[in-house]
Amino acid sequence: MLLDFETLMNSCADEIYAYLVSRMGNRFDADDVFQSTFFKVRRFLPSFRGDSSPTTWVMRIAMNEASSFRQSKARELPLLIPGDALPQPGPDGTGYDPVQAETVQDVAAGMRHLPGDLRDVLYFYYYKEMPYEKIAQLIGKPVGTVKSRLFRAKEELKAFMEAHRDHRTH
Amino acid sequence: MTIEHIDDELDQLLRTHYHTAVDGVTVPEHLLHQALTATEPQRGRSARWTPVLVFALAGASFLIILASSRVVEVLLSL
Repeated sequence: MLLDFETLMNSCADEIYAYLVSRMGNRFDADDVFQSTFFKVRRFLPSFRGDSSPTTWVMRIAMNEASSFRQSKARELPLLIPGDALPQPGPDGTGYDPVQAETVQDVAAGMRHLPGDLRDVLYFYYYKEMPYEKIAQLIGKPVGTVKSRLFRAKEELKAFMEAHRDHRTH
Repeated sequence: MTIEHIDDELDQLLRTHYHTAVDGVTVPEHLLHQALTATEPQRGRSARWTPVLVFALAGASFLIILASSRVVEVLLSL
């Protein structure tokens, strides 16, 4: 399969970058990993055999790069959710739930405590709305592993939020 | 509150979280340009020389120790 690097990059750059921003929790690290991902894509493109779709192939490289980046030089910066990006009140003051806005911030904080493999399945399941089978194919694990990772991720998030809620009420 | 209800609430919160954090995120132009034109990431280039530097430093240290022990030996024999 003959693929042009620039065409491939333009076709999936935004998708990969969005994943990396979510995965790394901040844009500084996402920028670094984005660069190293596409460096590898360029390097290994001639050996791409077309076993999967090009975007899936690039996503797998991005996932590997994100994992090794975390392991080698993790920077614990807060997940960047600017205040104005949170649910805001409408012009008439309705449609805003301060409790929900606070809880969304708690989810973001809890997400930082999750290992990368759990964050990945949450992202693909809840944001990309992929079925279990497709996630399994993407991460190269059985469907059962995807389900157990989802379960573990949610349990850990629940525990974190529960502890956070208790801390706030006391 | 039932377990199902807590699960539903968390599902909803996760979706809201992702839409808040990721929706509309696009690659900055400068980053796209850098990735298109870059030949090798900066940290990769410096990382490539690290083993060579470590080896050279270890060799230099060995020679210094060897030379000093020889100097001590000569001084003692005087």
